[in-house]
Amino acid sequence: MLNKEFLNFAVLMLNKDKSNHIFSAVLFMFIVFILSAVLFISNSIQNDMLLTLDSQAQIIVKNQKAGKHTQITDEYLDEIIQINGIENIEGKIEGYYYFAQDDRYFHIFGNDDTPFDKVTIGEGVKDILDKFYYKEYFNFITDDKILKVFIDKTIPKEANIISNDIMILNTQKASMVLGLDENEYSYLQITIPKDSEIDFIANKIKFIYPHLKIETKEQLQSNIKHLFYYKGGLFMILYIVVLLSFFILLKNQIDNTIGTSRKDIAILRAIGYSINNIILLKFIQNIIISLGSYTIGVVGAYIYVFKLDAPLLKYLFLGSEISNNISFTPTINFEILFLIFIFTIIPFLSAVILPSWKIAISDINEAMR
Amino acid sequence: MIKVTNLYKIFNQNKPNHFEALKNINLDIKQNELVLLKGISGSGKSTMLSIIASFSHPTSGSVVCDGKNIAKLPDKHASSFRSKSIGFIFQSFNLIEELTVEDNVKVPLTVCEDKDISKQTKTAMKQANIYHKKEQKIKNLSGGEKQRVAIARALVNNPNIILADEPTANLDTANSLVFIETIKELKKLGKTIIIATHDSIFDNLSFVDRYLDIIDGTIK
Repeated sequence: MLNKEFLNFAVLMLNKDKSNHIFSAVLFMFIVFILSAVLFISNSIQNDMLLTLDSQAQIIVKNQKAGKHTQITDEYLDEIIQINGIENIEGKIEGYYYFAQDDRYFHIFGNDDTPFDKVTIGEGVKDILDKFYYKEYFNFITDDKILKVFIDKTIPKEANIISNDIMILNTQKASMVLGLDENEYSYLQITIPKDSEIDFIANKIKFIYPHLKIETKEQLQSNIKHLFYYKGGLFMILYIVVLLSFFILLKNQIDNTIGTSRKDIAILRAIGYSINNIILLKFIQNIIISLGSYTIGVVGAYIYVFKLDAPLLKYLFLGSEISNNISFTPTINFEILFLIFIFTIIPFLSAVILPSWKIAISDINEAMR
Repeated sequence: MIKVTNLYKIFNQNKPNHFEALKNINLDIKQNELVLLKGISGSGKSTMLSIIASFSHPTSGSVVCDGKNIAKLPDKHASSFRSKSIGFIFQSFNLIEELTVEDNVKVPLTVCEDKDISKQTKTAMKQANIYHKKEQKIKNLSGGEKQRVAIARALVNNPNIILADEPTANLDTANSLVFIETIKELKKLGKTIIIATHDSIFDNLSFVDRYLDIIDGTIK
């Protein structure tokens, strides 16, 4: 029993009570917008971090002192390379440089291919250096000297979300900036040709050097995922609170409109509408509201995050340590969008259709009074 | 046409507020008959109409319309019966105030298949003499005009049976007389009509076939 006239009538009745429906629709849209925006941002960051990790070696070896990460000397290089199954081992320079003038940290990376007096910087770093008139060069201030480097190029902001606070220097220069000796590295990076041997070799290094911290790429990936599970957990609480508020407001809204709805339903029943017709009518009306709101909420969140770079909300994820002049890489997790769809639209439809059904099955004369 | 046999309607059965609204009603109404149910408020005439219209089920007894016992019909069939065979005119009109005359009149057709909705709507509005107001919203109409919209809506499906519950209760004398003329016309069209009223304006009308008094749920 779904003809054009019935659909037209459903829309007509929807239009009749539009002021009541607009309230529900705007609330619905807001909830979906918030949920989707948070989801888009977290997915985008997670994906970028995992992508960055893809280019790393299979095992990372770090030294620790007093429970904190500290530099590792090159004597380990010669010893670890002797272990069967290891193709290559490299010392890497990485750390944070404190830029006191702006009370911020820059993420320093050493790279053998970068010229000794040059630096490649992220967009966020560029903004800060521009602010302090470091347009062509920058001076690193260390314990005993000032190290001058010329700004070579800027990493495009679209390149990667985590390149924002980066400064890539020549390896030797990076060591000097971070105050490391020539035979010291931030960590060692081990390449293993056979993936099946990674865990075995990692355990072997752990056995030989129990004081070193050994991390496999798989563990790092898992840590990144867990970081977002943790955030996801926090946000789930937020979601639940927001959703509960939504349904409390929705219930109030239904209570407010139930008076007029009761009479309309009774009139329709009296002039030939069956209970199924009433449910279908309410279903059509509310599927229009909920699908419309859902679509606008998701599209709005997409534009907000990926076109406008999520003003305000991005600070929840990235902090404000560095200028967040970044772009989120568009990533959509359809599974979670589908879950949002299920967890919002079905309760919404139930919240509206169940009271209508109750009125429809009640005595027509009573409901009409 | 309509045969009511041993009809009882008891509200709150076996409870302290037990109330017998209809007691052993037996009635036989023929095709094209115009019957007036007269009685004071609470006498049971509206209950009687709502059972014939299949708005509610009787406690016991049967109501046979066109050979079909509608007393215990499941909702789907009862709705279909209401939609095809009954045109109901309510005391308070029961129109959807925010919609136009035309939209109100065509509502019963939205759940019927294979109907020429615009033609039937136009015919019904012309029959009830409200076509000229088809674009107007109900809330902007007078009581008499609302009554005519209610009549048009009751006629739109071309039902055999017209039921009217206190149809003149909210009308002035002039509009009540217009309503009586409309009923006369409907009788000429072959409709079977039952009107529940306690309005004396219906007394001694020549075209009324039967006057039935309902007192305390019983036909006297």
